[in-house]
Formats: sequence, structure tokens, C-alpha cells
Amino acid sequence: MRQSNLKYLILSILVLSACYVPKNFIRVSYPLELQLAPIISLDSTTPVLYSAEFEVLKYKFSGLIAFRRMPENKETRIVFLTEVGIRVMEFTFQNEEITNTYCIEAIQRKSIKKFIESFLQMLLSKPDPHSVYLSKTDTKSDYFCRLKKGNATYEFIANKRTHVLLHKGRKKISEGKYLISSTLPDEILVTMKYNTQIQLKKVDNAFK
Amino acid sequence: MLKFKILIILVLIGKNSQSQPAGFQPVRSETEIAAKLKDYSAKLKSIQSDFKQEKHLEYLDVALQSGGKFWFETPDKVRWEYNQPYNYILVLNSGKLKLISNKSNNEIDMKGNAVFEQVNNLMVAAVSGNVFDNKDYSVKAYENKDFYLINIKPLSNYLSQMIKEMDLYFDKKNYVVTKIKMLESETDYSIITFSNLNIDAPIESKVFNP
Repeated sequence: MRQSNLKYLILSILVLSACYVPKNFIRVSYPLELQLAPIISLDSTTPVLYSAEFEVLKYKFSGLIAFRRMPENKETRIVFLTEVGIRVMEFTFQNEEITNTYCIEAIQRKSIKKFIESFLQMLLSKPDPHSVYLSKTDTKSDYFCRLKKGNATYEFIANKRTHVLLHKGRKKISEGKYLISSTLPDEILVTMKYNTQIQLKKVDNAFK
Repeated sequence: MLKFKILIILVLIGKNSQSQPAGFQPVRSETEIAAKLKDYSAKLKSIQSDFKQEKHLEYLDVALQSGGKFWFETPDKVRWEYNQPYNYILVLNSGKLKLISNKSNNEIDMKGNAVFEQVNNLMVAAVSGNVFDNKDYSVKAYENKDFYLINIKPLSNYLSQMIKEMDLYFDKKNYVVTKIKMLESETDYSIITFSNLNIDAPIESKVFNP
């Protein structure tokens, strides 16, 4: 094969890959009965606390994550704490964007911030109703909603609210599962690349 | 001119109220209090108690409440066991810090870790009352009818980034610490209140070796 033909072949493969949609995925219009709420959807200003267990490679550590929708504006504030109450990180979520507002010196690393930001984006972002796909197999069918943020694509299984997938390009890098009893999930499990896992459990009666 | 004088007086009152805790006045003799607390600290063998913690988070404008059981044994064994509203155990024993949550169990060797060592020393000093004559903190003593209030300010850069200052409330009847207020920043602080105190009762070794 001549070199120019080879280049053309590689280019074609790349173009086709970029347009790739799995054959069992069908783009559909948004079914109104679907609840397209974020995983953590704070309707009131009542704060919510989750205990968190992190597994990063062989390391395991724990902490607390507090969420509160602030009364005067529509921003949500998030604080990471140790169990003894030492403030570790603070974030703001507004207009579907996460902003880091505080981080203790000991963990001021770009990779940590990026990791936590994508984790929070997954929990707080609202799926796009214009980007709904139907996944059909012989045994089941699920609606997927996609949300693009930079290089990452978040996929929500909309009709079951059972898990979230985080893609970077076509490569799956994380998957989250959560259980819901009322409006907020009691448990959330997020598995990410590099053997990283975050497990959240809702803590009741934590705030005065 | 009168307005200027009033302004000066208001500024001075404001300044005074900032440096002196409300309801307290400086002790007549700091040396006397230091000696009493040193004497109590030297005789103290152990403390067992319940505790309640209120963490005030300015960013969320809320207070996080937790509580559990506390153990201290001289010279430097400490166990904080949170059982409300979540489970968590922190044990300091022989230069090692053990952190136990539902799934994780971490042990950190504090020897050679300046920050952990300083936090450990400060916590042990706070609960035992051995806070004077320490080059790592500046200390001021106040009193009211029922309590001595000892204000500690860490002098090292490492420690002062985490804890700006600490107020320790010692009961005048027995010199036991009953409340700790810990200021982590200008706005965030924690209040730990001890209750059901049991002083010098023997503590099983497994408490500090979970």
C-alpha cells in the first residue's frame, strides 16, 4: 500500500471513530416522563452531609462532604472536612460549573483538584435533555443522557437513576452507582480509573 | 473634639473586647495559676468522658454537630471515638496516630512528621493542663467565678496554619478541662464540651490499641 493511501486509511478510521455511536444506542427525543435531575439535587437550603470513603491505588482514607444550596443565590457550596472537623477543601457549583475556592496547602496539587472537580461535576450536573439516547439490548432498554464538559462526557442512565458513566473521548474512566430512598441518594459509589473508588453514605441529623 | 474623644474611647473598648474574652478578666497571678495547673497535670493519671463537638462552618453558614467518647492517659495516650452522627476513631499512642472509619484503618508514624507531632503535643497539653512553660505557644490566662480560661496561640508556622488559637476552660473546683474552643481561621471554629468526666479511673489497654 502506498504511503498516501495508508495516511488516507488512518484518517478515515479516525474520522469514523470520532463519529462512533454504539450500534445499540439510538438517539431519541426527550421522553417527558424521565426525571433528569442531578444525582445530588438540593431543592432547599437545608445542608446535606455525606461520609466519604476514598480508595486511591492502595491507599484508603475517609472524610466528610457537606453540601448546601445558599439562600441568597442559586449557588451550591461544597466543603470537604476530616471527621474531626478540619476543613480541607471548598468548592462552589454555579451555572453547571465547579470552582475551587479553598484547599489546604498539604494537598494543593492540580491532579487532586481535577479529580475532585470531575467527581463533583458528576454528582451535581443536570443531564442535557437534548442529548438523550436509547440503549436497547435483547433483555433491557435504558435511556442515556449525555453531558459534555471539556474533554469529558458524562452519561446518565436517566430512567433508572442508577449509575453515571464518565467518559473522556470514547474511553470510559469512571462509573458511579447510587441508591435513592427519597430525593437524595443514601449511598453513592463512584469507581474511576487507576483503581480509584469513592463511596458516599448520607449522614442524617448532622447539622444544628 | 468631643466626637473624636468618643471615637477614641469606642476604638479602645473595641480593642479591649477583642483581646479579652467576654465575661472573663486577666488572672491576678499567672504564676499561681501555672503552678496549680502544673501540679494538677503532674498528679493526673487519666480522663474518661463523653464529648460534644460543634464545628462552625462560615462558608456554609451552618454548625456541624458530632459527639462520642474521650479517653486520655498520661503521658500521651488519647482516644477520640465519634459515634454521632457517624463512626470514627482517632487514637494517639506512643508516637503513632491511628485513624479508623467504617472501611479504612490507617496508622501514621508521627515521629519525624513535625505537623502531627505539634498537633499531638498541643492536644495532650490542652487536656492535661500542661500548657505553661512551652516555647511552642504563647499563653494568656483569664478567669471568672467558675473557670480559668487559658488562651493558647501556636507560634510555629505549620501549626498556626491549622489552629490559630485555642481557648481551654478549666473548672476552678478541680482544674479539669471542661471545654475547648479551637479557632482554625478568622471565621471557622470548633467547640468541644466534655461531660460525665471520670478522673483517674483505670483504662483498659485495648482502648489505646484498637
